[in-house]
Amino acid sequence: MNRQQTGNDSRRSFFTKSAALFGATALANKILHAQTTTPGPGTSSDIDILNYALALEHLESAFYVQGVARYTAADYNNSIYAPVFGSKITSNFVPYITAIRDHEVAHVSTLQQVIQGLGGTPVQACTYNFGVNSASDFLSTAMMLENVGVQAYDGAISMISNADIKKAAATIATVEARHASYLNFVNGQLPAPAAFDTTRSRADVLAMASAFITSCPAGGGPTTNPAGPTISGLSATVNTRDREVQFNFAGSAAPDGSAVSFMFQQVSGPTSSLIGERTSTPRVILTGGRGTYVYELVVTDGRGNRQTGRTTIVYS
Amino acid sequence: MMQQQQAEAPLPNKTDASSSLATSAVVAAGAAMLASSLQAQTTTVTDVTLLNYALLLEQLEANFYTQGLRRFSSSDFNNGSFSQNLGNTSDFYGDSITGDVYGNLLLIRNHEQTHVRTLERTIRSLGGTPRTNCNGFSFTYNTVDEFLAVGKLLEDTGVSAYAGALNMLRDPQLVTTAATIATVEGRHAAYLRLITGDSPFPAAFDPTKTMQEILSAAAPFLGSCTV
Repeated sequence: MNRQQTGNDSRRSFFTKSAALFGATALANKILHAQTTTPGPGTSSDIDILNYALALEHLESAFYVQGVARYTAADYNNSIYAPVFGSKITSNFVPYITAIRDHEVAHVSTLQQVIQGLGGTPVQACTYNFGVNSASDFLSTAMMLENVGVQAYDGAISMISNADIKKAAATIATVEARHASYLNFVNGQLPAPAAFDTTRSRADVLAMASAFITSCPAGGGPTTNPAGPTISGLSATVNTRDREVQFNFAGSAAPDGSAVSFMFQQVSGPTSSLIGERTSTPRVILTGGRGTYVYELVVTDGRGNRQTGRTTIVYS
Repeated sequence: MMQQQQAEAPLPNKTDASSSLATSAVVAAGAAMLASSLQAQTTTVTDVTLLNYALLLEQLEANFYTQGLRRFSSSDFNNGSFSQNLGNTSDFYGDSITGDVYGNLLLIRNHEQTHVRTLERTIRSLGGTPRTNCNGFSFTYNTVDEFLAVGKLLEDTGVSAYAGALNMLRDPQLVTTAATIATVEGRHAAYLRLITGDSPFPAAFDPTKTMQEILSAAAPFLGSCTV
């Protein structure tokens, strides 16, 4: 949003530098590595979903706070769609955008309270760059954010276990839909394009959100696959009389179904050889003879979340 | 449960004048019955009951738009007093904004009809019986402005109904379907509010309403149809 704001050189250069420093993927990984889940008794998944919603509301809230501070009625009336509207629409740009800001701010504070009430830790806001250079840009980015927000809520509501929280999420979802309807309208789009809104997966939504995130505080930012991938085929201890041990981790999986990658390496013990250490089926040759060998497996999912496990091979 | 009520209050002779008194009695009884059964056995309200409740509201909405768009033409909407606020006659994207109103209302009508058909199909797929469709709902308006005012009320009420009932559905897939309908009702409500000069989004959280509240609110529109 501030990237090209005149008279704010230090900020501008910061964003330019950030853009150069972090490719989208690197940035996404950086955010996604920040784990924030704080499990409470029986509610860990609700806390996790609420923190996902909170991460999106932080983003929306920051977007509108910046936009309300930056654009005046005159800016909106110079936006590309303004000429087709009459006074009832044009005179309400500022009040309606301001109302949307107030809603997003209210969603943030409500979600924070609910998460704390459940014994969780609310995720913190990040620093954002929305790449907005005009009131027209602002209105079109707002439209995108609100429509994705609807898809995110519609996709997540059924995963909430607590009935009251499910209801509260529905009352936010329909408000995001009202925002989306208005923003579609002022961008020359159909307010309600289809009989059913579509849903969007958490991984997709967070990948889209990451494009707007410059940096997040430690422990901040949205997470996905919060539990990380699961590891399959790794026993804590393997007793063997054979010189070779074959592993099969092919059953390891990510909660979002994304592909997982493997890294298997020796931690301690006599010398050994590893074949296929970056595959799901590595083989160990215990060249150092009888003894105790320790290996570590790291499984990484498509979002960069990791799960680590160890195995001890006792060769006798 | 819906079927139960229909069985107890057989009505298919929806013709004579006494039906309006009869229906309000049926509504009151129906609302009380639904409400008491909800309180008594919140955990046993079936998904089919809830979907038939949603179906009633969708039938009402679909019937509302079908009647109104048959009665009023596109030019009636262009002459409505609300349209004076909406914009000039430039053809920026196809039609002028005011010309778009009729098209958007046709779309909204189509959405409600799609909701009806989807709910009917879903109820059947769950082994239930969808409530009988009824075209005899009754709405009072004389002008397009009055028509839009009723539409606004119906859509806002629809949002509150879905937001209030969605969490009682047991099947997570049905929860998702209900959510994707609820947000579309929210879009309709916002649009109708916007073009009639109200804030499209009056609060940070939409209010929710119970089945009993919704059925009472729907009572004046039931005409020759029943709960």
